[in-house]
Amino acid sequence: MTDLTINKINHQAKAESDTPLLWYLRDTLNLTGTKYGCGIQQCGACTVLVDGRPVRSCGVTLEEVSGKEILTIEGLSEDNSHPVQQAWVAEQVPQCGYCQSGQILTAVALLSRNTKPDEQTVNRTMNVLCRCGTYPRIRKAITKAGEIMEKQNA
Amino acid sequence: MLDQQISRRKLFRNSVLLGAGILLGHGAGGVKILNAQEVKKAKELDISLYIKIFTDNTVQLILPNIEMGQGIHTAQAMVIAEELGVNLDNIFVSNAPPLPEYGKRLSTAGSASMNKNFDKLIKIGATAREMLIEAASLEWRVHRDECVAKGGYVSHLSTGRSFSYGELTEKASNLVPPQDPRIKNRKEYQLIGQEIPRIDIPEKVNGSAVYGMDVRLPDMLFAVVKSAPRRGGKLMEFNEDEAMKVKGVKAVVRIPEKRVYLMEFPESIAVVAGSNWQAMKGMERLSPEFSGGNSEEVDDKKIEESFSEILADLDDSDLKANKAFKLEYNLPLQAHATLEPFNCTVNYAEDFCEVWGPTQSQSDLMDRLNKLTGLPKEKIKINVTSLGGSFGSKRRSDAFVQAFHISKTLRKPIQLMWTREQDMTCSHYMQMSKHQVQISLGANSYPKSWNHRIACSHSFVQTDHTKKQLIEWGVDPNCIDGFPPAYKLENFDLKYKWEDFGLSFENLRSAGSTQNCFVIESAIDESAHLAGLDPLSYRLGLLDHDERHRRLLEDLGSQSNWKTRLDSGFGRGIAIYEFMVKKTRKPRDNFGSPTTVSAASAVVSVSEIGRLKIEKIYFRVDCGLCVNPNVVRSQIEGGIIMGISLALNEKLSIKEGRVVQANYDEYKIARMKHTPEIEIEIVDSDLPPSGTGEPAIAPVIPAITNAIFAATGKRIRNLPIGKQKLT
Repeated sequence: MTDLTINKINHQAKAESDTPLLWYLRDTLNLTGTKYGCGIQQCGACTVLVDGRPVRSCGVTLEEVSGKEILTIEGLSEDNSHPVQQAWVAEQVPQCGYCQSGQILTAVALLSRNTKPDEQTVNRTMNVLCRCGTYPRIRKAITKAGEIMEKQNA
Repeated sequence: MLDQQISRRKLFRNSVLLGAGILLGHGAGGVKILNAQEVKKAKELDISLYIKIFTDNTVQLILPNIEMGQGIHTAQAMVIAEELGVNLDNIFVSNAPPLPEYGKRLSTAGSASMNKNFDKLIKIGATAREMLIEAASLEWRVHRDECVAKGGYVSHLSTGRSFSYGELTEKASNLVPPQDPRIKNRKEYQLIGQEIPRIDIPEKVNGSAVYGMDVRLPDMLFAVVKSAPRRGGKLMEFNEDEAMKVKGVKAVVRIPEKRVYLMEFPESIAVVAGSNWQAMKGMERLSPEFSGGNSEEVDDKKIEESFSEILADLDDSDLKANKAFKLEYNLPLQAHATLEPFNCTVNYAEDFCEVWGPTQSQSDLMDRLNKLTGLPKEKIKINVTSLGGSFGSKRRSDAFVQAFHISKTLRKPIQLMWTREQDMTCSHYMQMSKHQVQISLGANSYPKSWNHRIACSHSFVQTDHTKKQLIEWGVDPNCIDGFPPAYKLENFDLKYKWEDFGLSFENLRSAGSTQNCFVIESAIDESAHLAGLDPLSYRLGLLDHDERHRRLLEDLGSQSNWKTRLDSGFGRGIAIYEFMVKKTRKPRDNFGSPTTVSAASAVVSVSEIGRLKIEKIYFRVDCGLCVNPNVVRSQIEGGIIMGISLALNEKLSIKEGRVVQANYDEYKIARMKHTPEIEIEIVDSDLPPSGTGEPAIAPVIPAITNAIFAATGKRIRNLPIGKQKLT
């Protein structure tokens, strides 16, 4: 049994404690918005937030995240209203969409620390692979989301 | 509200023809109203596109093309919305099932979806609108010219009375469709040409879009698979007892080598469990070993030697001229590397088979399932899920064939996933090639003769179509892409030959165009240099006969400030390409379809220690009528990034007949840090719409490598650029 808090709900996970968080989310809880891409923490499609930090869920076990706050794409908002989601729609970012949960959550973590990240920071932090090539729009959407967040905080 | 819209879109995606309303089909003989019995006869009418207007004013559009991120469902729905006069929100798009009444061959490829269907969409939309107006005018006993159709309603102008389209469907069903409805002229367009948001985006920012691996069925088990990494390889050893000890593992299933029509599926073994993780752990313990196969001796060196032999064979000329050169170019084996690996879900019962998953060709998949199951097509249901990238790869149905075998063996619904390692090492790849170009310049400094020779790795014949092309006609469709070059050349000669190394092949976005454009645009740059002329003016001098090319390139020159001097260590490069033309019996054959001409200008910098940075890409595209600039721009951006990715690092190597790179740590695709500033101009064009999914890749790569030459004097003749020394 592992104690987990996922999208503010407590779970007593019966799965083996060495199970990567990714597969518990997808195959046990059916939270399928988190995607498998590589299994070796290279692509970032499986990124979720653990205590507000982006973590590649294929590479952490249930045991390692026990007792921590986990946020998946499903928990970000009920109605696409999170500033990052708003910006993603406004800038029409996704193409195939498969990597976008990972992109969005990575951006959420980045912007929660800094609403105006410079280009170098964006390059370094937004290290999630996208085969469709949505990077130019992700850049624009990050700027836009930062602006929305600043307005909300003002 | 948002949720409702998203779930309605999902509901419609793979279900057709439910509920009362009027159904129209566009076939060989024009637009027809169809009742249930007539739908069965639709095969004879050769119908390829349907719309249904329901009594609740919802419109269903049944399309032959799959949405895989390229925005085609939005763009096609816009065309209907424009002519029919409805709001885009009320149009729901469905994937046509691969049954004869929905068209001959349902497949999405060649960036052809819009150009193949635009006229049909216009016609069917206009026909329906005229019929609804007719129905309303009969009801009101007024002249039809007194009525207007807009936003899903027909209104009578002078009295303000109105009917929703839904209310008019019954009456309209008794009318004869006009054969020659009034079509809007371009100036009247209100929707076409606008930056319209894509209908599939809301579900792609909250994790609710359903991809193949997100399907959940009662009783479903998860399977992972390992296949022979070489064609004809045999499973030698595996430890079933160890695998079965892993908690949750339910079965180990051997999947024999299969041949379905001409397609070969190698021997494989699957571990089936209660979750993907358990199945993956089971596979680790199973540690299957394969041996043999007919590419065992093949490696990069062998392939290179073999290509050189082919080129030596084809090298039948020696151009004598004051200024001449003979150069070689190498293009590597590359992977689609979609973020979503191959996967699917299959539920097979004795008399019925239902599948869910990503496919780029419903018809190919149906043919294989039909043959495999022995069931008639009406007993096979294909549900196309969202595609997590395809770029050609998901024309293949390997995962479906494997999952069918497991589902049949275990009598359970099976969701099968290829791990990244399986996806990268046991897949189908973009062929590699080696080119030799011999050019002699005439007295005017322009190429007088251009002899182009290609050696390429083609795969074994896997479809009837490739069999016809390769064996009967002796044509490799990728070796003829983009030839002869658009430039005015006195003599152009192309010869090529392929060899089968036992590697399986599938087109990667833009296919032969990527490789051939790289070589053509590199060689013309070499010619300009040899002639001592500016690469842009040199090209323009060779395009006098072709206004469309010349204008685009000239305007790109101004757009990219071509003549402005750059600092030392910086360079500009330029390239142009027309997609899609091929050399058949005719030079530059467009097969009667509109083409897209696009050009790229790159600015790069190379530091003193040889570090390359792509600073900016200027891009200009003439894709005829641009239906949705938002969608077109996103496709061009994606093409540019993929071009950069293919240029920088993408290369698979072969050792003992197997692909060496197994994951993204070894096969490196472009990341955010490789993304330059991008400036795209879509030109106003009177031509009909043409595709934009693929064309951008081709000119981007030589624009970059030509810019490297301008910055450093170093020519890149082998891709990828990789770790080649630039200073």
